[in-house]
Amino acid sequence: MNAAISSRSAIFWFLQRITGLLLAAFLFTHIKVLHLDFNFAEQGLIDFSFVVKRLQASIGWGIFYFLFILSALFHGLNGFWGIVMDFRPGAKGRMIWLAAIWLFGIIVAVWSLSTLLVFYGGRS
Amino acid sequence: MKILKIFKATPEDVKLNQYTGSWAWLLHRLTGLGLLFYLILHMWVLGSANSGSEAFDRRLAAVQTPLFHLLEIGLIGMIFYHMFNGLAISIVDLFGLTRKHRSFIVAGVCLFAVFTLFAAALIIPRLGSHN
Repeated sequence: MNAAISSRSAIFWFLQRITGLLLAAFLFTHIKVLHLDFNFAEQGLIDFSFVVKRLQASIGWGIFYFLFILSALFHGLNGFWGIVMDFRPGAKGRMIWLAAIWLFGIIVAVWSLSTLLVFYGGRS
Repeated sequence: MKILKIFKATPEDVKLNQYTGSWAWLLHRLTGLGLLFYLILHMWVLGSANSGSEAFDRRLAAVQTPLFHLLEIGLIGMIFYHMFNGLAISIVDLFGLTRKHRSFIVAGVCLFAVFTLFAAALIIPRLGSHN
């Protein structure tokens, strides 16, 4: 393993820890607001207008979910890459997996962030 | 033991490595894969907003049934296990506490149990009066 790969691995290891800590804060907030505080038995089902009203109440929610989506995708896909590496694929296999994970991550990130924008453009 | 085959392990490997850390590692991997799968499914459900509010309401209503609300407890459990075990790993890694790793794993499991039971105690009574 050369120095460049080792240094890159160290950065990704550190980013995995940082995004993990961020996700702990994001998930605590998300679970509290939408799974525990929100009572579906009294308040009914969540629908488009509910989401629009909640997100448009503050741009802070937009920033929150923007960072949440990117942290979750990085953490999830980097963790998946760690599992792939546990199986010790060859050089060609590593390249194919890495390209597939990056491509998948970019597609899901664009799709998710465009969904977030829909809620900021919609009416409650 | 199909699960062992997936991870290229044998029952003998598990017998030889029956440490708290081995089981915590395996559960961290499994909950991580489960949460990645859920994240993609969640984005697929929410992404229906790109096709308009009616499409979004239809798809979201399909996953807001009593069964899905019950499954939510399992999801919250996976999140809390992965979160507290991950926090334990981060603390041990970042502060050089390798010798104390077992205590941190046990503390993580205790926090996971308390938080998941708390969430279950809130959600289960609501299932009876589901809209």
